[in-house]
Amino acid sequence: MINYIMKTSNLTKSYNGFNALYDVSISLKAGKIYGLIGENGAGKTTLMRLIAGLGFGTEGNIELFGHTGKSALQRERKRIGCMIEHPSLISDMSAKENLKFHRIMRGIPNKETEDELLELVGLANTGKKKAKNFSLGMKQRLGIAVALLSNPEFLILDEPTNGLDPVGVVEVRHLLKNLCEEKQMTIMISSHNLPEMYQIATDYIIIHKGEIKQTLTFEQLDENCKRHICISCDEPEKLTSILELELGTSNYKVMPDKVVKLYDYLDDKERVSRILFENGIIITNLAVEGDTLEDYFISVIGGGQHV
Amino acid sequence: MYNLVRADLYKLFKSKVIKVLIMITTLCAVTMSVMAYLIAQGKLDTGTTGIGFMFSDANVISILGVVAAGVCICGDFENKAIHDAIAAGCSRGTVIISKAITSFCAIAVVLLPYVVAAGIALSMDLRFDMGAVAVGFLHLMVEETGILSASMLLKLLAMMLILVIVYTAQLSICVPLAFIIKRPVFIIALYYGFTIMNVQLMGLRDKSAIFDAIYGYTPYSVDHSLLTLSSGIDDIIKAITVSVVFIALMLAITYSVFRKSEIN
Repeated sequence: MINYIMKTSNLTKSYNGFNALYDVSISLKAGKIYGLIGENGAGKTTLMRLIAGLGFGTEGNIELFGHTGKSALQRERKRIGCMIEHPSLISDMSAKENLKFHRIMRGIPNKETEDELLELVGLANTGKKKAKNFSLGMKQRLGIAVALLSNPEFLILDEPTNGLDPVGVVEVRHLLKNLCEEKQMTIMISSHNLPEMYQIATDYIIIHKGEIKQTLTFEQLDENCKRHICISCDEPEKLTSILELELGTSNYKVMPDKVVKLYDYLDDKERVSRILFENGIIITNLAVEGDTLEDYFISVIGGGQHV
Repeated sequence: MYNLVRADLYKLFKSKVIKVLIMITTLCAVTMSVMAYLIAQGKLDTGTTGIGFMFSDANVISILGVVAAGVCICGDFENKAIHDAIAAGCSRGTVIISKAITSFCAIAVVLLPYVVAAGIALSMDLRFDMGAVAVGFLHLMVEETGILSASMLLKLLAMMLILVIVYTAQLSICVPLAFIIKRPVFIIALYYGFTIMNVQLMGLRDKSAIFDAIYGYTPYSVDHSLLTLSSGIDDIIKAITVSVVFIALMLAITYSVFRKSEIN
């Protein structure tokens, strides 16, 4: 039996009849980094907020570390670290004072954690500089340090690389990967930076208009993003029948924007081109491509209009 | 809850706002005492009692006490400390009580200069006067004269503590307001308007016995702010009971509002 860190069953959140989340059922396993991918307003932050207890689902159920119910969830949240939307920082305090405040609040006795975490997120040399004078990237780093204070088993980070410089992004990526590998920490991370997500996450949850469109592992994504011949033409229906009858392949996919992705004949595209031409198909594009995470995301959420 | 209160107190005493508030109340307490002394000496016209009241604890705390409470609660919505506490597994009830305790501590600290001013004034065997507008600590200063015995001193300290409790109860209405409105400026405006309305309501007490009885069971009744060393034990117990029950009621209202609300 697989033990899940977090599980939602048919979770729905409605605001005045509008479903910010609809029928969300996901399960997160230990020691994995889950990339939550979705457009603005897709429901990423809403899902994170419900898990953190900042809001209540209209329907459905949340299970944390195998426990469900109001008081059990509250108890289990002590095993979670969060940074949702903006980091919780006191602007008149330095980085260390902020960590001290949050450490006292969580009842963590060891003071040395403050320095260790500041070192870990690269803020050890900020001295007495107040948080209000921090750059966005520094605030994000401090927010991550606050989330890590209680040595959580499950870390929820909403856009953690937002505002970080390229070096900072790489550092945060390494930090999260290390936490996942060394401490078997489960991480749920949302980001608009899909190439970055591709490098961090081990699993992906694609959410669109409040609904989970797909959950897949890195390997599955890699498989789905595999190289193909991208064909655009005036008659896509005729094209597919030619592919099946003349080229004897059904290893293709018709995208919502009517582009056909052919996964065979990658080294023989001249033959494909010739046969299509001989059958009177007017080709507007024929090229070998590989999906990026962006392309794949767009194809999953069903949007030629998004391209 | 203990950890939440400790963390909040740590934050409170690091805050510049509370230091500024203490400075302001210190200045106001000194001004009030000097004016009351000069009026009693006849060196200041009795017509200035209105101005003197502006510096009195009853007036100043109705503004600065709200600021202190507002900063403690609303500030934590702004800097997401409340979000963090809930995400870290604290119950909403715990958050409410801890924020209320911190706010009450802040109000007590802001009131401290008046406690000290009244203590010093009464230990110096001086006469003070502020006419009919003297309530709270100012009333204690005006009413009590002469060298105090040790037992009287203890009673005086007890009276001061009760006055702090009464003021805290009066300001406890800011707790539900802060959890609902989340903007200190609006809470200050609302509470100040409410205190002005209170003064008007006091006029109704003579006209309606029922209203008088109901009003007497709120901390806003002036009776609870006019305690002196000669006050009877029943008045003292009533002031404490009314204050504690009112605080409990305000916290219950806050919980009923906040327990299922979205924290944005």
